[in-house]
Amino acid sequence: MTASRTRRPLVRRLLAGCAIATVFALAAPGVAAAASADGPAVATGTAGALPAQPPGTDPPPGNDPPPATDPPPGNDPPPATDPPTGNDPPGTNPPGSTPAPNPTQPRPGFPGFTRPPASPDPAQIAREQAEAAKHAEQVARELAEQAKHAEQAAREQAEAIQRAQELAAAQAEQAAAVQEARASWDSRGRPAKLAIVRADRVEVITEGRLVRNVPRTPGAVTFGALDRYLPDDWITVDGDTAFVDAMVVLSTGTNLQIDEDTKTIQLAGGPEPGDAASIFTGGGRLTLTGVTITSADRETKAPLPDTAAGRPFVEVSAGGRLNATDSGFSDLGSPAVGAGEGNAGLRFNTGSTGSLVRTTVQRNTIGLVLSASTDVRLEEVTVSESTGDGLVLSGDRGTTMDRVRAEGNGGNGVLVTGENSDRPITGFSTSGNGVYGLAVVGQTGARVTGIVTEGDKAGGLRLSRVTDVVVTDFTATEQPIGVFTHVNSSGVLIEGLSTTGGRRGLVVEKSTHGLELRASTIADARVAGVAIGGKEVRLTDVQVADSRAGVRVERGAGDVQLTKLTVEGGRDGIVASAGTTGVVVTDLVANNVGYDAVRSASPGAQIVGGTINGGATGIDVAAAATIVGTTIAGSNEGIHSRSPELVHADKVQVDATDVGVNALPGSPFRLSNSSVHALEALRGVIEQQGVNDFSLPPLNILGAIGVPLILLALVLEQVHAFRQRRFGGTRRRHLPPIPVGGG
Amino acid sequence: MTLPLYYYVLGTPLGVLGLIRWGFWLVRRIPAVLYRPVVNNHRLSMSVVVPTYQEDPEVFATAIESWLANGVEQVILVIDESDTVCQEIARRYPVEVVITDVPGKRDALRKGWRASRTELVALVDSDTIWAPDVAAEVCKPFADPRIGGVGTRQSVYGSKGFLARITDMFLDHRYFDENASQSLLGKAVSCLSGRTAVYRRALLLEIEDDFMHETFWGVQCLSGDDKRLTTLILERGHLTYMQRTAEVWSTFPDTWKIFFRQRLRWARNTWRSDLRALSRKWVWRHPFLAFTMIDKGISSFTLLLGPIFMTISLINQNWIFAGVLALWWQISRSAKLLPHLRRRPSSFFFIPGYVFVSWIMALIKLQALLTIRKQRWLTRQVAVENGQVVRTASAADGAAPADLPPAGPRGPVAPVHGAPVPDRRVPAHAGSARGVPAGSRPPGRGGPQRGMPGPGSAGGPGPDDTIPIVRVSA
Repeated sequence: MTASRTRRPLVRRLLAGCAIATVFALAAPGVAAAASADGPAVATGTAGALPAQPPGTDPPPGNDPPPATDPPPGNDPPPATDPPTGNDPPGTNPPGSTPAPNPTQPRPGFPGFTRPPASPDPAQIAREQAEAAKHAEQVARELAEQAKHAEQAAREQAEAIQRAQELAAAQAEQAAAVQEARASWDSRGRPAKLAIVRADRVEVITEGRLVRNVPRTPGAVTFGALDRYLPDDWITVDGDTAFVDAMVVLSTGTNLQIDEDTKTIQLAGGPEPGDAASIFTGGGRLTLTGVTITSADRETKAPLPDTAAGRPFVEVSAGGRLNATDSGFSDLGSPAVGAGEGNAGLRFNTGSTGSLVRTTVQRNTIGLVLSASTDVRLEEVTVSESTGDGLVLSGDRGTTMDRVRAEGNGGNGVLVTGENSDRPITGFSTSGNGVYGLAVVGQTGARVTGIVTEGDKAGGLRLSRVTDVVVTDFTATEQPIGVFTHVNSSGVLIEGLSTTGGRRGLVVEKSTHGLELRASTIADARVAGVAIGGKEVRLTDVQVADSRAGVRVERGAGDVQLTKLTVEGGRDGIVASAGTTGVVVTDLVANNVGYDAVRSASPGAQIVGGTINGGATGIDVAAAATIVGTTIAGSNEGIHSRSPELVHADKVQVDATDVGVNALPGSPFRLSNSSVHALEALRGVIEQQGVNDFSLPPLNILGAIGVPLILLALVLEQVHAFRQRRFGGTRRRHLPPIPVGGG
Repeated sequence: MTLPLYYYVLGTPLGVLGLIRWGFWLVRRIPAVLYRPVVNNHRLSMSVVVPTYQEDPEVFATAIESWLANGVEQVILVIDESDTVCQEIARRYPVEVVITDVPGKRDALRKGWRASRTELVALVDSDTIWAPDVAAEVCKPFADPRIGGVGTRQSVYGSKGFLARITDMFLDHRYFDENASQSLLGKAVSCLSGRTAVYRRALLLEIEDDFMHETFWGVQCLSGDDKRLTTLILERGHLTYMQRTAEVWSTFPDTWKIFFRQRLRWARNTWRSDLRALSRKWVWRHPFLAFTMIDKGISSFTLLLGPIFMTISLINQNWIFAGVLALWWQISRSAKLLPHLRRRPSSFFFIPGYVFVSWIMALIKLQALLTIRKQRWLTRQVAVENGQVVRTASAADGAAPADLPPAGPRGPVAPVHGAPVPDRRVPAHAGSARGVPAGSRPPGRGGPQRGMPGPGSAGGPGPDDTIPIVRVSA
């Protein structure tokens, strides 16, 4: 880019120098005048024989500078040294001019003139003097005339030089424009047809050759006007649908406006990249109102499949702007081919800006990409059914999003990646996307707020390689994983997470260090509410309801603190596997968990405080553990130990229906200062310390009813006997004797 | 006290179920306590009709003498033609004998009440022994003209084995609980046992066609004659009553095999009769009767939950729960069987056996429900094949169809070997005859003992493979 910019003045100077030299060589004002003739308003010709630039035009805009590539073959620059036809050879005088006196030939009366001797005759002398004077006067007149001619010749020569200079400059500009057009053509994938809308003209380029240069009035360009600038078959309008068969590039200072008169714009495409009739804003502005831009096959006019390498797209280039309202972008973008990355359906590039309002982006390869864009506003935008990701935020700044939806995209609904940005990740919802609703990759200090996701195939939120990320008020409904953190993520704070359904609410993968989940609710997880495999994980004020397991601490996890965790229903409350360390459960509340409120095989686990109501087993330990101040009520079995190492329960209160504390053979158990009430308070070998209180469970009401029932039966029988005696019913008849010989 | 509220209120699911069952029991027990037998001097003429087939001679003779001792006007013995032993015994007493070759108890009963000439007819099994005042007691409820049939209280005769004790407990439970409450609330006893049931003869003649041609789902019914008679009486708007002061004794199976078969047959009869009754309007005019029918059906299922809970607790080695549950069964069943325990306190130790047999009977009821269309006597060589009552016999019996006579003519009395002949009567006091050789007696009491299932086949109950021998029809 820099090389091309430095080359342009140099070329100009070279061309101007050549022109001056030619003029000086010609030294003929008539020739110069012929060479400076203005071209027609519309000139045609091949590259290298371009028409003259209209006078007064600015040099080509520098927004699309030609790349530092070689000149295109067969597109030679205009020959700046061609002599104008009909010019006289150098040194000739202009026709009709008086020949100048020969300075080397002596003239009378002038120094060096020798006169022969004569007799003195005064009259003669007077006559001669008069003639001499007359001759001298004539000579003087001739000399003055010669001087006048010389002056005129000099003036005409200067004018010729000026005209030659101007011609050279114009030709240089033409050459530069050709080169620029060529470069633009190259950089846009060498489309078969390319229209470059410039501030004052429209360049028509076919197969890389600038074939037409149409001047236009500066100002906004409407779609109808653009149609008139271009060849007839480049834009075909049928009703409110326009079929565009050429790539359109806007340049700085241009503004292409498409309003509701054209409801649908079909951009032509095909199997090859050069077939794509894409739109580049360049440094210009594209304004859409009530317009849907889509792709179309040249033959069938049907939208192109996402496999077509020549499917068109819309790109907002650096310095450009796109404002779309009530519009749509569908079936756009090309897939990656070979080493190429492919093209998103709609892309805001570095430094670009604009807005999308009430706009849909549908069935693109990648729906919408904001790549280092600035201050883009997305409002009520729906990005759906993209082949890949729906919305990609990559190093964009100042982006504002409001009621954006990413639905049914093949990849992530929203992908946040690339350079870190301080824009908040908020204002959108996702559903039914092929991977995650939102994926945040490689970000530091990102803020995710108020996102609602539902039914995405892989999960709601993926945090990968993130640092110091804060997620607040994130909602995941029927997601396989509500939130997934992995690949060395650290310093993650999640607050106000709400997940419903799905397999797991939160998964902290083993490479995650430092995650805190606060004030969150997880319900109906089919596998686990929270699955912890990482280290330094904190759960505070988290509620898990009706999940198969409330919290699973997986092998390899370490330094896990669960504080004020509430588990309602479900199969198991907390399950800590073997191979975990530093598990501390504080103030757990587990209500009506089906099987085990706490099942721990984690060595050295600590269970402090908390209340467990109902369930089959309150606490089931398979490794050394310390239980302090926990209340277990209504479980079939209070504490069940199968640990080969000592389990110590201190100040626990157990009211179980079957067994209070059950220590299997080989499981040392120490009970101190506790209260255990159950049908069978203690089972197994249990070491007791301090003051313990053991008893049967309170007689329940049914038991209390049972005793009166028995008493009632006794009373009824007494009444019955009394009545039988009164009516003679108690008199027993005796069996008649067997008759003698009866057998 | 940190246990959840439901624990205090409901306890275990089994406890809830137990509470419900106790509630049902109280609904029956309270009116049963208030039951009283009818006391008056009402007396009607009565005849005793006894279908007889291969009865134990000793029991048979004892029974005949007990009937005669009651002073009934007629004793009509309808004896299968092949049963010469019983014929010989009958020849000693002043009874009327009707010889029949038609298999099936129903036909024999009809022959009997057709031969009767009294207002009341007592349909009695040949092994049922009456107390001396049965005839007088059963007449008393008939003072109420709405009463169409009266039942008696039964006790087990003769056996002191385990099954006899258990059966005795079940019988007392029936007559001190179910039948007593049904008698008090609506005078609609669901089944007047066929061992001794007294009906007005006029009603029997009125319902005999329906009685003889009972079918269930297109299949002619063989057993369940007593349940059918009771139902027909009730269906026609008459009432039934259990007069507990009329006490009879009867033999019951003392082997498990016969016990199972007998219970299976009864269970099928009960399902058939109750399900059909509940689908008719008449039963809803006796709400308590309908309630007891439903209760009996439900208990067939709920009764099995107890052993399921017990098994689970044993598998889980929850010994205390199992012990408490067993203790509760012992106590609660004893409370429910207090009328029986008052009479036989030693039965307290048979309570676990009673509970166990209850489970067995629940299983039998379920099997009966699944095989409700089968018509087999099971303890006799008679069955319904292709819609008709036929004799069945194992191949070892050796009986050939050609050996048996054709069906006899229909009529009030249809003896093959002569009408009931007065000259065959013997005085009641001539009961000392011992002329029946021991070798000619039918198999022991555990074998075919009661009723009139069909002549011609010797030995005890045969296998299920039946051979139609002769077609006979009522």
